[in-house]
Amino acid sequence: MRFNIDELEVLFPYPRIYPEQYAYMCDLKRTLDAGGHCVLEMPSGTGKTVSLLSLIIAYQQNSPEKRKLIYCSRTMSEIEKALAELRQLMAFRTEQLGYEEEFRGLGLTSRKNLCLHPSVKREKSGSVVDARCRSLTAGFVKEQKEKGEDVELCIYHENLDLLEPHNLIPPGVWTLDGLLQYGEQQKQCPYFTARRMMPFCNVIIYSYHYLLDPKIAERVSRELSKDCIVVFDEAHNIDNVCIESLSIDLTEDSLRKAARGANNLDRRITEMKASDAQKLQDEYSKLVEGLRGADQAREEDQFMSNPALPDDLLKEAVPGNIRRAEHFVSFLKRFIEYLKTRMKVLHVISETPLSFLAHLKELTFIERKPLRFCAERLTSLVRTLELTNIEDYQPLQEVATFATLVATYEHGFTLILEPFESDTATVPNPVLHFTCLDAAIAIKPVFDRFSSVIITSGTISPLEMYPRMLGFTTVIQESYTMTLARKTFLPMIITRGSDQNTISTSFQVRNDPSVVRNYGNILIEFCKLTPDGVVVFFPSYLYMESIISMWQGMGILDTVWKYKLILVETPDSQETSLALETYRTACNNGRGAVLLCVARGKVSEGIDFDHHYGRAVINIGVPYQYTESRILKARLEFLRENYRIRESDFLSFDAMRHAAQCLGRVLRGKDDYGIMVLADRRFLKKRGQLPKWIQQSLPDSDTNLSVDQATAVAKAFLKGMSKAYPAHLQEGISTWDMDDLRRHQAKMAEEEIRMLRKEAEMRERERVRRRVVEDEEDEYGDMEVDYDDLVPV
Amino acid sequence: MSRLSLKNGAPKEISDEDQCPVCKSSRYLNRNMRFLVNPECYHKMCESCVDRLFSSGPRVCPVAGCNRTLRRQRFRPQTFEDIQIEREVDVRKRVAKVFNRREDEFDSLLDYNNYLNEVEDLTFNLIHKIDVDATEKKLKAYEEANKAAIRENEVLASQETQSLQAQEAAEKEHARLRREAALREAEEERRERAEGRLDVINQLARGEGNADEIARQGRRTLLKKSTARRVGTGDEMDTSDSAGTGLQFKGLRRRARPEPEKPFEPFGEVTVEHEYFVLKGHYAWDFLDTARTSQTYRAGGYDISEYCSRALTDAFAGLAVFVGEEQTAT
Amino acid sequence: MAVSPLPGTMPSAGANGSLKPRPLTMLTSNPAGSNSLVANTQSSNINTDISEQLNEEERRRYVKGKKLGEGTYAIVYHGHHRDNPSKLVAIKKIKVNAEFRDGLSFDAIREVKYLQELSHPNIIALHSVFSSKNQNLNLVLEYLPLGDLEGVIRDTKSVHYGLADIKAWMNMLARAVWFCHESFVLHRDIKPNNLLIAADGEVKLADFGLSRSFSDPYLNMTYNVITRWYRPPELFFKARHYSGVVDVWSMGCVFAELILRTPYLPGGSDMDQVTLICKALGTPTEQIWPGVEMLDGYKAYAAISSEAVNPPPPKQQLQGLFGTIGGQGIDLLLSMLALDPNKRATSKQVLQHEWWLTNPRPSKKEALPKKGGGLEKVGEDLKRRGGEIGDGDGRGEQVARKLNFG
Repeated sequence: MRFNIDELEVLFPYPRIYPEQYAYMCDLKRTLDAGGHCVLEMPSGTGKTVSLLSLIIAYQQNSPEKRKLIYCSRTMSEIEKALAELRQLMAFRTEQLGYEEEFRGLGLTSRKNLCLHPSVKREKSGSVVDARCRSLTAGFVKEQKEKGEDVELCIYHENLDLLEPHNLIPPGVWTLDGLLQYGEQQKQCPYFTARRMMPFCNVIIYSYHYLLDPKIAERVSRELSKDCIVVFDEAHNIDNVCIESLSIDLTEDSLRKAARGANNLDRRITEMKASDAQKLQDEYSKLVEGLRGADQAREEDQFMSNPALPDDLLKEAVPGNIRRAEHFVSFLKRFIEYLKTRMKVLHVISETPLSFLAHLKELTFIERKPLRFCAERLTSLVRTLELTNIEDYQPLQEVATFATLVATYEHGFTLILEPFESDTATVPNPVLHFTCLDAAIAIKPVFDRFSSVIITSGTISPLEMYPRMLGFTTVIQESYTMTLARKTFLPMIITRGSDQNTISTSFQVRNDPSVVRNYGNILIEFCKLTPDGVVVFFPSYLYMESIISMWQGMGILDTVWKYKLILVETPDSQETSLALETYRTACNNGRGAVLLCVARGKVSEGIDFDHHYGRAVINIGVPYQYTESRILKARLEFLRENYRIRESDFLSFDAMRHAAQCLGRVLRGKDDYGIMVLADRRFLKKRGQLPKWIQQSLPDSDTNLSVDQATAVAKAFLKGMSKAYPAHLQEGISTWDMDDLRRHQAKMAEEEIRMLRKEAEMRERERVRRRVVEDEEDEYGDMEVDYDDLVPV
Repeated sequence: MSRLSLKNGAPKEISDEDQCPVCKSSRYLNRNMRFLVNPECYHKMCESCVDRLFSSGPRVCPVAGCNRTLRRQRFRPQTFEDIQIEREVDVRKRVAKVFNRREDEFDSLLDYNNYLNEVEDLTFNLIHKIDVDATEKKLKAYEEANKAAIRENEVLASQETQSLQAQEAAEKEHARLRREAALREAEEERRERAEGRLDVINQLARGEGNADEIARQGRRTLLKKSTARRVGTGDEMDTSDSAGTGLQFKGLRRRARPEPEKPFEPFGEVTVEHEYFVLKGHYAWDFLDTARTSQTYRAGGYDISEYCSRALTDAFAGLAVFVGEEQTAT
Repeated sequence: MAVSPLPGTMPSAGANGSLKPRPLTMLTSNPAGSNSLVANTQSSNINTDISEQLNEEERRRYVKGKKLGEGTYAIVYHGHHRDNPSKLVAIKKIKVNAEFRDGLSFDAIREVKYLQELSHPNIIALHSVFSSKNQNLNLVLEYLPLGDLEGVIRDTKSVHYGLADIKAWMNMLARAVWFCHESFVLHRDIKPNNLLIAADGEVKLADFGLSRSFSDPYLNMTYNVITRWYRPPELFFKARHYSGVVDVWSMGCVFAELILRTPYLPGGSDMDQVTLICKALGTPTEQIWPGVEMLDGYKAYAAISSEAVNPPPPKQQLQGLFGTIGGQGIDLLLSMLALDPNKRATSKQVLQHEWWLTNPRPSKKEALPKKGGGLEKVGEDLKRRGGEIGDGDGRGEQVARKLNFG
């Protein structure tokens, strides 16, 4: 359908639109008009992606600047889905407009997914693919080839150079598959095609990391202009992505490897001194003059790039004491040796970057400034030495990145050394965590650089938490409810068992037999009454294991077995995917299955249980984080002191966003239905933190149920659902056709006029009132102030 | 504290590294074995060997081929696993003591970087034993020539370290205070909630009013209290930085010591004089009596002397004004 | 009455380091009738001509620039001297509004009346006043580009300040208030967002829209002044006769706010405010504040009529809250926040306190942390009428606007 929002004509590739989609688009447009950021929450399965794309493409095509859209999502499958939506949208536009717009939309993912090279693509590990690809495509390799040396090049990559650089692929929307096929046909590298075409695209769809991880962002996303529209979809976890992208863990093993890397560098320097000393000399003189970047910019595939550094630093020359290659390597060795020494301590240490630097200086005479340049200097050296087996230097790179970060940021980071893996371990296995505490640091460049950043997800409540944690201001924060012609999902909170004992996974009672039994009863009852698939989430693996073994002892699992196949998620992803496959099969063939998994595991984040794959989801316990973790403690303290977010507030927010995420797993659209059970007494108080669309369907009467009550409610609900509900009953309520939309728009316009009129009236009344006030006597007798008093001075 | 613990940290792997090269006893037999090195030759040996060999005076290093004479008091625990680094750091310590120029002493960054490069070259030579004699000579010469500057920079550096330490200590202290404040707050909230609950129960026990109403009321008061607290007192933590930086010495880096500052003058060297009258403590005037004795005047803080002062100023303000001057001025 | 000395002869602050307060009454008449700024119906025709001529001259001395901001009460423009474009000013054009019968709001008149008497480094300078076409009143004010103290306090993210900085700001505020009082002017609306910051970091007291002079003994004063969060208890109790220490209370609140970086007593209503005061500083009783029960409004507050009497807070508790300013600092703060106005420090006593002399020494004004305010902010700050805060943060409504005799 085609309709206007204000003056903007939007082409929407479906004949009907949901009311919330329309509201979402209006708010998006307002955000773009204002040139600011926004946080939007829209229920899962209500066509968020297509609304986003329709509006933004319309906006883009109708404005002279043609602002580029950068759409970031989390997983490959989501990227592929978005690309498919985009493709459909563009086809629809072409059909409606009667001509094809000049348009390119591309997705970018890792080399591993986009490689065509016959032997490289068979590698299993992503980093090996990266490294091997580099050794076949790096600039100096080509130079060597030209000089007649016997080196191998990748033909797919080479072929790109034969094409026009701005037209490597015809216009249109290319899904990842499409890109691979085209690449195979034309014998050109899909990965580099996408990379090189990024400046010429209207829409780019890729993973968060390409923007947030400073090591990648610098390389991939550098050339994007300020007016790009940036969208982070499924962004409820964005703060953690930010933090992870700037955190580094060092182990004894990685330090050993780094030391080995440094020794290798040393050897290579000696070799090069003997064979081609000029190259080193060239690098040296370039560093002396502080020249940088000129040839670096052309190099599309650096070994590594710099973590978020302030601009002024990037422009400064490398300090004199690490200019020479051999000086720098000895510098690195000293630093690594120092870190090794720190690892030997047998008790936990937590310190600030400043105190770390002070101690470092005391022991090794390493100053802060050269440390800051470490990553940068290493990049230059690796390039000069023309190293190809780059994966060997990965640990060294990590150490250099760490050096740079620790010397750059005084605040927002902490160092935690944990000598033992757990409190009970006796053999030390030290890990030095360099942890980012401030999500705002990683995302700051994004907000600084782009004028419109849109953060959206199905579950991103409470909305105001995100601007606070990420340090930005919004034009709009909005949570949309789901308009439904009938209630298709049933959220409820179970607080006690049929025996009226309260249930909770709080530490004091979680292993209480009556609590365990009551949880068991919930499982049994819901497995009995729900058709097909049931998904159960536990707060942690540890608790899941203990409760499962207790259920086994109580014979609960035996009962469940009669109704459903039981499958369990494990930390091993292979095992889990096997379990998932079996689960799906059991759902398909009518046996029915129950999947027991963990609220922070893989299943809770990326896997949808639509339709019969998930008719009920049960959250056993509030999924709090493990608060004894030192890193978490440090972050909580940081949030409290810098963002005034209280520890309990953050923990509760974090638990509830995971709970909501779990609940959202079963409902993937308006034609889907499912039961959402929150089984813990503590949910009663926290229901205000659920997304608005869930709260809206959660009447007070369903917030404090016992197991038997809940069973009755659920049965009634399922009975209702079993009745056929023809689509036409939804029309005009939960779906709008063109006429409904026009009616709505007319109503809104009318409303607006009414508001304006009211406002004018108010103003008039105010004026009259004021006059009355001023007529009253004034305390000064100011009325008598002589105007002659008011002389110019 | 981390610093101290470094030394008693024991290497975990049992390998050659845990065997004394002199007496061949290993950590298996003696879990508390400690290794020491002497910066003369950096050959490592266990503590008991050192005791055994050197307690009766200086001796030649027991390691074959090393002919250095070692003294007991110069033995010390090894900091770095890699003995090369151990030695390098000692060299650096010596060099850094002499070459302690600061960036602000140079005209340009390039000059400073060149200086750093020079020094690094020198250090590198000493570490790798290249041209040791010539390098040593250079070092000596520089030291002689720049004695005064070296000492001055030493003082500056130690001041910086001190202020840094002070700052760190202050920050720690504040973190502690803030943590305590947060705890106190949480505690208070808990207590209030408990009290509130008690209140509700008591009211219910007395059987007054509608139970639901009371419960709701109780909840509301609690809520109000907690939000008020959050706005009000809960936020003292933000003084953090203020106190932290408060101890900082600004302008420490400056070379020329500024003139001693004059003592601070709270009034900003502005004085207000009443030239034409002296205000008395009491004016016997009936007109003022009511105001003086009235309770409400007193309670509101009304100050008669303010009025008197103003009235007197008004009265005498014209004294220095000469009409003639005025007119010409216009 | 006395003849007024012309503005030109007035000693300036820097010149001889000594200022004489200029009593208000000196200006109540101006026999020359020369420098009138608004067409005055009472003046004779000749006078009108001369005054118009002079006004025109005055007007021509300034060049009005870009608009910086607009409020209901005034529009603020950027401006500079015609003969020296580098001398910047802010020109505040008071809207002549139909809502005021006499064409001018009293706030504007008060502002002009008091500002022109007060010349002090910590009080915003009024360079000139003239009327423009449509008889709009134009105030030529000092150009203060760096926003206000509230902005600094609120920007916890990018502005960090320390004890020395707090001391410096408080001292500048205390000097300004003391000077007002020495000049017999009560400011009556002291709060962080009326403390504007000059380019060199100097803090200047602005917005004299609610000011008045010290009262004669038998004239009633209104208690409905001072933004609620900064209003002293005697005004809540409807005292009709009060003194300069009402401003000292506000100063105390600003002091606490500077330390806490959040308003100290943010009451949601008058009732709530009194409750907060009682909680934080103790319930005012006849024992600690003799005569307080005689005040009209005393009984009206729930916090007071209830049985529970909060004792004044133990010093230790305040230590926790304000510990950063040290024992003497707390002593000063408490003396400013004394419930009984008779026990409260006067503005002079505030400046005589020894805290100013303790370490650390107040920061130099140039070294004070700044928040980039920019032009828009100047507009924001000046366009408000007295006792109003920028748009939409909901604090404006809590302000006494109406001045009545009641």
